[in-house]
Amino acid sequence: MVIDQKLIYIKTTVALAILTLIEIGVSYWDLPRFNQIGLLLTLAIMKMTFVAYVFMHLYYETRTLRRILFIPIPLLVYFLMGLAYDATFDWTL
Amino acid sequence: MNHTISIKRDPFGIASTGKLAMWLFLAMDAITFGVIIAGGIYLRLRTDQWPEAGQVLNIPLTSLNTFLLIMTSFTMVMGLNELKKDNQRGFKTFILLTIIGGIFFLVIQGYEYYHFVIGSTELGKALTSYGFSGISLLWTTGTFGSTFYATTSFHGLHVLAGVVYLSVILYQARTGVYTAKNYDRVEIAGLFWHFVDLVWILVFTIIYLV
Repeated sequence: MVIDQKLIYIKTTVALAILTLIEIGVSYWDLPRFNQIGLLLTLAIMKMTFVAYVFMHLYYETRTLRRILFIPIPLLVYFLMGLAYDATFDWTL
Repeated sequence: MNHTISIKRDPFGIASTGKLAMWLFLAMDAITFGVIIAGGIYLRLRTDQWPEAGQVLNIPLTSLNTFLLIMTSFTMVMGLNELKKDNQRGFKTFILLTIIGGIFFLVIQGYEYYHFVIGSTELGKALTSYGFSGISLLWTTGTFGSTFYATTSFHGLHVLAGVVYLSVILYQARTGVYTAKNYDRVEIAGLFWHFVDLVWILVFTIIYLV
């Protein structure tokens, strides 16, 4: 039996559109840079998770496949932290 | 004698070989994008000569493109949903809408590039206030220009590839080869399209909003 997932897809699309609007609002909001970047990246990760889990059906895949796909992410963060070590960027602005 | 056969669960479940291959490709592609984005962040952190969000890049226009890409992800997944119900007409219509959305995305990106290359006095003023010379935003406009074009054009090429990929799927669909029991290739094409949307979410945040 085929399950019609139309409603889930519509809800996800609406959620993505709302999160995008919030993101645009945050980018114009005069916040300390560190907070603003943290908020924007959190919203982006939420949106990416929605796309991967609902639209790409990652939710229905096995735990093994999901783990394999998520392994490179902490490595990328570690790599970026290494690069940022001697940066002149002022987070407090 | 009691014979028992141990059946181990497949670690990848019912995912087809083609689907696993696409996931593998996407993981590698994600690393390529990751390196480009990480390189851009590194350049950003090493310099103060970088425009604030919205001062040079057009956020409203790109936001429109972001909404467009979200809508194409919806039409893509709805196309697959209709195919699973064996609604051929609905399937083809949604895939066609996805292709049209992808073309619109590329047209808007081309329009954005055109205005940056042609340049204007307003753009020149904005660039000058951040220490750049000239009235155009080019590949050579500091590390900002090269990061902007490298990241967005690499993504744009993915959208173009996705449009061609889906056009082939739609062309094949005219004979009714895809059915409620044979939708694997459509699902695999969908994975690629959604990945393009997923990467854009990060590109939009890091290049345009941060």
